[in-house]
Amino acid sequence: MTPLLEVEAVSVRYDGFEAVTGASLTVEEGRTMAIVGESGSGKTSLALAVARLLPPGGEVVSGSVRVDGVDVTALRGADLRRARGRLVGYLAQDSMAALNPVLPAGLQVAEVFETRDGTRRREARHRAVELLGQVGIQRAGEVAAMYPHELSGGMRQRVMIAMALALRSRLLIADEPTTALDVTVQAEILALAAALQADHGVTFLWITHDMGVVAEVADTVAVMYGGRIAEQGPAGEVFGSPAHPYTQALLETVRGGAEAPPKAPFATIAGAPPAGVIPPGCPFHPRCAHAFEPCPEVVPAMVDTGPGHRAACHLLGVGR
Amino acid sequence: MTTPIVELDGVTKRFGRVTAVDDVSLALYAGRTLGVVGESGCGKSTTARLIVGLERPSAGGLRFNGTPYGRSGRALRAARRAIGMIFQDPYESIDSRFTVGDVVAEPLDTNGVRRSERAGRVRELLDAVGMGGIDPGAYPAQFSGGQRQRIGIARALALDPELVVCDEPTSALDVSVQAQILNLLLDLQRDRGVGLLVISHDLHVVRRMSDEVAVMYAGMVVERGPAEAVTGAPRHPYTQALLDAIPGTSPAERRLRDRTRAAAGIASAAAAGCPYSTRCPLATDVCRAEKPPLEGGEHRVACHHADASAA
Repeated sequence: MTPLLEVEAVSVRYDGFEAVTGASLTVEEGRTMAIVGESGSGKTSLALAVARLLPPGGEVVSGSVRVDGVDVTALRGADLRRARGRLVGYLAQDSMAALNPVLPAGLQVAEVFETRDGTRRREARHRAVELLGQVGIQRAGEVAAMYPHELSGGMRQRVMIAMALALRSRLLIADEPTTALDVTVQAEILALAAALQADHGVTFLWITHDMGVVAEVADTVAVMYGGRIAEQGPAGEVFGSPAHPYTQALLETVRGGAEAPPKAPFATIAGAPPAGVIPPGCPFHPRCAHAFEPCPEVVPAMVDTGPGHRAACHLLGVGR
Repeated sequence: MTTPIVELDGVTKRFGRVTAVDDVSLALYAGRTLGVVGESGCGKSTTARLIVGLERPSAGGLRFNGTPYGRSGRALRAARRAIGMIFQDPYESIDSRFTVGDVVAEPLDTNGVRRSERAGRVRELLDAVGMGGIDPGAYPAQFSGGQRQRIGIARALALDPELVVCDEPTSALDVSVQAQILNLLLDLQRDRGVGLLVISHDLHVVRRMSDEVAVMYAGMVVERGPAEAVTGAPRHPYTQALLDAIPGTSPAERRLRDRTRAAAGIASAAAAGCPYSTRCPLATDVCRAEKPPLEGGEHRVACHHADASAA
């Protein structure tokens, strides 16, 4: 089976600055891959490259992105317009900015039916209300008439999800859609995403900084650091036997200390993620507790550490 | 029992018709940490602002070392000097046009610390937050989020506070940096014996940092007690819901995606009774009619159905 999303050796540049370097990953249809990383890891640039939404000045300088067999990096003009939405949908973190503030929620969903399928307005509005109900909004008819500012963050995110369903995008990029939400609302949205995947076979590329969210949603995980993929593989593998020191340290901060006594020190990673200048060699080497001679000099190659599980670390070459 | 540094006694804060903080009583002690958790709009930040004197209570009283404050006058000024505050966003809370030294020394300047002592104090403070090597003449823009938060902490320590109020001290920071800042706060408490108020939406953080935890909902403290009891054996259905909503720590512990699809409705008007009754799976007529008082010994809860399982 060919994967729905194939990203091959993609590099993204913003005038002179390389935000993503040689990233490769695949996502099978109906599955969820999570890309996890901190600020400056390149996770959002990679997602924007897949969605063809890079801001002016940003471009894919090498590599290819295929969605359902279509090379989206090569699309231009009308082809690109048709592909957007049909191939790739985008759920943004900031639902207030993503929705039109002067249009009622229902109308924004209805618009999708009108433009995508040529549905007549009355029918489109009817289907919009139906869809708002499907994403778990009670009294959908009333909510459809409300403006984005009248809705809570969780409700707005549901409206965004309804729009994505109306588009029937092949791939849905979820760019930290729950980051601004309270934990109880986040739990509802994660449950909704899982239910939609089961009912409609939606394929997700889920961007997040939160290993807890990854644990909940992901079938496969790619961990990014300093513009590169440090480790990727099935979620159970990456959480169960993390191969990269960065992944190990990140997981330690999340689940470490579940049994720690009150006020015991937290496990830490020294320093901060690179901002602007990415260190030569392995980008993680200045913060890595295990760094040795080759790390500041040579970029480590991806090596297989298990079925479908790969990591880029010099330590992995040492033991073999 | 020792006198608390700060004590809130039935404090209420109204903004127009909205009651942001509703009859809250809390006490903060030297060398101890009170964690306050709750979701947006629960009143936790307003509580912090009341404690540091940035808001005045509409009703109820605040005491600093036993002396009432909270309206105005000498007691309020004394309390303000003795209570430091650390803010959530180190990009907004530090003026980028000031040098780091000026940011840290601002409380010294406004409290008439002599110029001759100023430079030495700034060095000491930067040292205390692990930034001893930096040039105090540098500007904040040169520093990362974590370093800026350290600068903010140095400023909060400038007047040797007895209490430091931390409003979401790590939620704007990268995951790999958060633990450094939390460890710094633990160290400062151990070394200086300051009392801490840690406000967070993150129950993991609050459990690890706190001696005592208060859970707020709709302006009220709905549960309060020793940190391990509140997070390990919650008695209020809202606290249980909060704990249930925390993502698992590995795919093997996945729980959230198997939940039944929860529904979102239009937020209903505040009930006359328990504010949580509109969302609570255990709510009965008494919940909608009567506001439950916060009751119990060491581990208190405000619920007509306390200790019943919401599952």
